[in-house]
Amino acid sequence: MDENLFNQKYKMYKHMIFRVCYGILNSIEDSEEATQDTFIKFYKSNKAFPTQIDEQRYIVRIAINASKDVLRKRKNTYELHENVVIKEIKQNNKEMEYLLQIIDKLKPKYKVIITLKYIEKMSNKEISSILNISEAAVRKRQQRAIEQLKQIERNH
Amino acid sequence: MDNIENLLTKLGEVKIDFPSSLDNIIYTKIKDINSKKKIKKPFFIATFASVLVSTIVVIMLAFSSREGFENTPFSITNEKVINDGGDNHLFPNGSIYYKIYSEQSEFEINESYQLDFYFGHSIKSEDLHMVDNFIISIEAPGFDIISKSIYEISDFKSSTYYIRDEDQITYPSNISFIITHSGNEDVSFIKITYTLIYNENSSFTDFAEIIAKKEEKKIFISKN
Repeated sequence: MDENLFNQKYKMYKHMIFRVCYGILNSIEDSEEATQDTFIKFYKSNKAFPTQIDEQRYIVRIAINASKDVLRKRKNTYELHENVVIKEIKQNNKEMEYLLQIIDKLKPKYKVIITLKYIEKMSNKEISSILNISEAAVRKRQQRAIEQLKQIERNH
Repeated sequence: MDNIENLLTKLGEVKIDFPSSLDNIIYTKIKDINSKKKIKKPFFIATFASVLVSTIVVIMLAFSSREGFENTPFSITNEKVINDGGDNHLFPNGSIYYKIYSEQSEFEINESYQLDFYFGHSIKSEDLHMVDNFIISIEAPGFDIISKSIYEISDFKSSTYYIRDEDQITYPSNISFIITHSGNEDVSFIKITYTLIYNENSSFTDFAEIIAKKEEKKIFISKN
């Protein structure tokens, strides 16, 4: 891929990719690592896509996998990092801080659903196409994620 | 406290700032990848060329001693190389012409001859996932091709290989073509075409061309 073309794509997707990584990792440091991996893989893949939607779906999928890799790498040492975002939320909204903390306790596949649905505001159809599962499965997974959040809240 | 569903709907309002320092880190890494590519390419070209040219000759000699064939030495040269990418480039999807001339005897009309070739396909380990298939075909004006004229080597990854360099794997393939001189025209050359079949993950720019050296090589053609 030409560097200029990459720069255009990078500017187009960087905020979204960072948010997706952050939603799954809940850490600035880890999200930086996953975002870097995502764009390097995207660049190396050198793929051409028929539509921008296909391209976006592809790069979000890379970001999800890169975030899961980071989670796996840090499985034993991973702790919630108190970072800029959390500090800001603490000052403004205790409830949101609490929500992010319990989301962080979810399994990765449920974090992905919550991130795409509630941070990226994607439709079930879009999520289904990114995760390569049916829309019914998206709804089911979303439902289970919410049930688990409620369970965590009850046990907290 | 609101219930979970209500809170989730507000999650999109959380401001997540993109760290500006990440821009420079990523741009630098991309530049590094590009500069490495530029350095590696000539090395790959040179190595690939030497592997192909040298291995063809060495193994030809070994096969010529097989019993049941009367060995007739002919000289061939890779006199001409054709490739869409320009002169002297063979890969990807190039052809090489070997000029044939007799040293000790003429080709006899209607006699069949077996041409044994050894090909060493050297592929960079990191690029291996891009290649699905390897095709070798022959054209020989003045001859009828009795054997298959096209060999498709799709299982080369499961065959024996050896490590050529730290980052290159060479897969050997033995191919035989049987030809008969039809007498219709003068025998002047045979053309061997090599084609790498790339899969959907391939990047053509990563696979460099091979430069065929203009030096005389000998193979042995067995009279069948």
